[in-house]
Amino acid sequence: MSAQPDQSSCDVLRERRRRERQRWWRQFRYSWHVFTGNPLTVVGSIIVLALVSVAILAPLISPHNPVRLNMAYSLAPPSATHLLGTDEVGRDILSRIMYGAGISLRVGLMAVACIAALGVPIGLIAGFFGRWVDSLIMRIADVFLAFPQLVLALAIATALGGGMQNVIIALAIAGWPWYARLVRGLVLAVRREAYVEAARVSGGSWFKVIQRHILPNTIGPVIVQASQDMGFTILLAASLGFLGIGVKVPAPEWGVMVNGGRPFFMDQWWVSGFPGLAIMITVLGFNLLGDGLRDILDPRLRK
Amino acid sequence: MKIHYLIIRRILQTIPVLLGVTFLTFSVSHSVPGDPARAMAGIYATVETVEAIRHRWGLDRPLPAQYVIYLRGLLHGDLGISIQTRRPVLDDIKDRLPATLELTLFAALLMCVIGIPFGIASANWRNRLPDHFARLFVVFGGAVPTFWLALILQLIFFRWLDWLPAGTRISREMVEPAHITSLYLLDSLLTGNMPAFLDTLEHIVLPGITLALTGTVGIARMTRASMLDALQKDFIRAARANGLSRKAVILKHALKNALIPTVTVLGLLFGAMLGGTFVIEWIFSWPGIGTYAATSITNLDYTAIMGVSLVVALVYVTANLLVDISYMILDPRIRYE
Amino acid sequence: MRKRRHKRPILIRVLGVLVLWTVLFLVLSGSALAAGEVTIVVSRTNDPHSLDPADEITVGGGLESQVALYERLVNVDADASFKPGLAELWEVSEDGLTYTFHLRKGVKFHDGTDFNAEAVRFTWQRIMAINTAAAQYWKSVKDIEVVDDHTVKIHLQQVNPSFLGVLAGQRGVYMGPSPTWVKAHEKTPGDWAKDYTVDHECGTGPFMLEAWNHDQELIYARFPDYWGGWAGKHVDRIVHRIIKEHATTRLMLEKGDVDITGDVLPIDIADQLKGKANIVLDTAPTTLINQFTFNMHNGPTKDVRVRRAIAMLFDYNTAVDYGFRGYAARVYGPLPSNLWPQLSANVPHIQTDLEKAKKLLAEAGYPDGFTLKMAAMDMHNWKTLILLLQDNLSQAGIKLDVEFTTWPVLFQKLQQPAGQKPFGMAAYQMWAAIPDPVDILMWWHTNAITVINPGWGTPETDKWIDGARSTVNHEKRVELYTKVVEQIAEDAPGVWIAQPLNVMVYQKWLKGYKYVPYYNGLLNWYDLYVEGKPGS
Repeated sequence: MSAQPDQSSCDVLRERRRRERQRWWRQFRYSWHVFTGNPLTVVGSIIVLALVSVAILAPLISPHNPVRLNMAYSLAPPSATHLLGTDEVGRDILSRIMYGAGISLRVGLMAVACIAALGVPIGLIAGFFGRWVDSLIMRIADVFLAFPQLVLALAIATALGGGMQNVIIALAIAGWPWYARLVRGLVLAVRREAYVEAARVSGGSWFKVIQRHILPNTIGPVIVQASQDMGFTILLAASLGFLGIGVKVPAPEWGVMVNGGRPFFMDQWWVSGFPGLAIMITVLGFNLLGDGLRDILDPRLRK
Repeated sequence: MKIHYLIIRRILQTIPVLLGVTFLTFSVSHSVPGDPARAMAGIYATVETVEAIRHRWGLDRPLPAQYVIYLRGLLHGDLGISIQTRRPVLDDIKDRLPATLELTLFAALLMCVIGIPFGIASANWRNRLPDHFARLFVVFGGAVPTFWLALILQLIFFRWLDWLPAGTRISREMVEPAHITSLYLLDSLLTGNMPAFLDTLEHIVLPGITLALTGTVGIARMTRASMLDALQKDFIRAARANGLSRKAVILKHALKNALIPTVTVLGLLFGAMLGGTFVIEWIFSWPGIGTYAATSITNLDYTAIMGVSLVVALVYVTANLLVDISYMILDPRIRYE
Repeated sequence: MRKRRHKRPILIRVLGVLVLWTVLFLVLSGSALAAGEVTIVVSRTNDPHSLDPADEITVGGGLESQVALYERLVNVDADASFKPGLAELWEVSEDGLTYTFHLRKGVKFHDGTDFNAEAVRFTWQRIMAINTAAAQYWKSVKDIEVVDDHTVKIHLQQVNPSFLGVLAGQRGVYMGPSPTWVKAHEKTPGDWAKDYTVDHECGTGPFMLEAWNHDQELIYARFPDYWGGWAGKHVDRIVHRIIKEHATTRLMLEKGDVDITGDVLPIDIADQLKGKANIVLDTAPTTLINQFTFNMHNGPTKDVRVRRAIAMLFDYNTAVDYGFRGYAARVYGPLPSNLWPQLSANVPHIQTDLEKAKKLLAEAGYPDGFTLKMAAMDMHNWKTLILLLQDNLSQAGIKLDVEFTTWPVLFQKLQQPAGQKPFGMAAYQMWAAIPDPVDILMWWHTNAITVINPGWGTPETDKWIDGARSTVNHEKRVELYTKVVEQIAEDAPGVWIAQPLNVMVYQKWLKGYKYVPYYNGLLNWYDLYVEGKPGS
């Protein structure tokens, strides 16, 4: 063999790469078409984008300081200066909702990441090693699944002592079984494939087998699941805030804000009403977006 | 494999799960900070008093011993004594379970009455107005925070319109219906007590709607999906070809097949709803086990917490069990998994 | 062709039925009020835990429900004077060790048996045998001697100048249940009917328990043979309804569905009801103090200058005007201003002063502030007060990291030994349950039983407190307590926020309500009556 690769093989490589790029573009354009073809998905993305922008730009666009007290104006109804009214210590609700967007986003993202980080490896282990390992892990998962997620997360967060970090940990502990089950099912399906068996038998380490064959097939569905769970996780985190377990005062977490307005709810409904609306719109946005992502990544499920 | 063997094995599999539930609840509830003996004695009690109370309730024993004692009691059907009511937990739960059951059944009824027709309409008039309307409902319904909805409903129907009460199960002036099933709606119907029936209905509507919302969304979705599935099947086309009207086809053939997965989802949702009553019961002052669970947590009432968790887990596990068994019976393919 | 049977879709049928029912109940629903009988509705946020006065002594746990059913030997009035209860007269021996009570005649328990000296002794024996919450109040009693049917002698182990106050207090000192009743309902001989007394009662009080639906309601009915008689103005029946949400309670008050709140409403809500057509807002002085205390041994609050600075950063006026909606008054020391006022005569009056505070902080070495952990409960208006403090402190660069918990958890934190308390500041309320400063000042002893003490005190201050507890000489007690109060003022172990007023909200047709500071959280059921109610 000569030291120089000859011209023809270079051309072949270049051609192949160009075609790959074209194919990638085509796939992208097709996905984009599917994505934007569904009006609901577009709405979802707009909401999420708006949310992220508000979260990032909050210090710039918020009309008032979200934490300074102003007792003289407590429980003021929506007006020109306070578009969404004030709460029981005079803080502007609109500003607090804006700053709260960042909290909800952060908690949602980190919680979903932790849930996946906990659930996926467990599912991998269960699916890959099978037999009694699988049985044991699935029984443990059943124990966790026998509890309503909110109650379990509440109990764990209370035991850990509250605060954003503990909320995320609690959500992870309450949510891992779903991902473990999902991944386990996927692993079991893939494991039966002949080529995987061949890879194992031919002496590959199990770590490598997982990495090269199993992981690529599981990442897609996990991402789909995660994108669909974002909304629910944010809702769960807000529910914990509503029950009194959440970020520390005076942080403007939406669930905590709804809880704070409860005693006055009948007459000063804006204190609880607007943060709740914010939660709903956020969850709506993420749900729609998640559904749209699922339509692209998993066309089999599309109706 | 013989079906009986599979079913029995499946039933036996629930036992370690329930045991795991007791273990998890025990560990978590005992990790919650706070001293229940001090909570019972009050701030002004002396240390001796607190210790005496701790001893009386067996809280001074080492944790593993407490757990074993609890399990031993379980074998005799004894769920322990509740710290906050000083009565057997079993009695406490028996008193409060009917209220929660009534609420959950009412919500389940609402879910079917609203969700199934939505799903049918959605599948039948696919991509037309009813479908869009139903899908919008599904999308919004899945995003509404239940605790917020509860407050909003109270605001609208109690504060602004004054149509419905904001809490409790029956008005003060009403005489409680005779305790036949302990479900007020049923009892008042059975005894012909119309004022009590209407009064109870008034009280159950708002919490029922709140509880039913998430489930209705799920039911509507599931019904739509399985209806669409069923409508594609060959036997439907055959029925149509034979001259049956579209309505007859839908109502008689497609619906029957579509309802099977819907019913199973309903079973699972029922168990899940039992846990969802937690917040709703508090907001509506509904005297069920959700409120009991909530006060148990604040009072650090370990036995009560464990009792309620066990009951809820039992319902959920049983629902799952029934679903799995029915699948095993109906779908032979599953047996080979 | 066969006629097509018109099958209406199920959905329309169900909707039709629902509409029919809706119309029906809007027409038919009405209430059936029992004619002639006067019933009042009291709202509660919690189901009582137990009606046994020997076992349950906390307000919120059942005490507020017990007081209509059971009675004390002696009562105390708002002006701190003792009034006869089940005992008409009493004498104290010279050495202060024997109290002789002459019992009222003709008093009956709810089961018809007589209340007598034997019943008093039996009550005491039962309390000590069960040995839970009420036993601590009888600790100083050596023996109870039945002299005759209506005379009983209580012998103390050591002198206790506040013993009468304890007997008149709200915790652990109720007479009953009747001995006959207890013996009749024992599950096993000698168990004192512990289990039965949880949800049944047999006291001497004006009302009897008619029904108890857990988590829903309790109903009391008149005890016809009550010794006080029913000649004057009273109610026949009391219905306690359990309503968990304050917003709901508030609305039911406005609508007239609830006559009076059994638990105090949050002050913001009570304030909003002021001026409503049929609502009365009743205010009365209490012996409560809201305070912040410091960790005296760890962190920046070790330094008295830091403590004084924080005391000067707090905005007292806003706290009173908005935190308490004006229903409070400044207080300048650890004692409420209406409890032996002479003790607090010479304490300095701290006012908000941002500049001075900043200077003190710089002096102490914290010109840029620091972070401080606060332990508190999210109850009543504490959240507002703490948010205010957080806001105030941020102006000097001090970041307040607040941990809201339930009170048992707060208590656990407070209970840690000095030097190991896991907070820099704590927030709680003190209360004088008897008209005697010992009830508050005993918590400033270094081995105070529950160590709420933030870590203040020296052997010398302990001696003062002990000295004042063991003598009946009034002047000596005043002298010693004054020393304690003035030392506390100098060391600044706390921020004295305010002394709140008791704010009770009820319908204007409900009369007779009276707040006694020593019976905080309890209602005077027997004296309540209804007058001028529309439709009655």
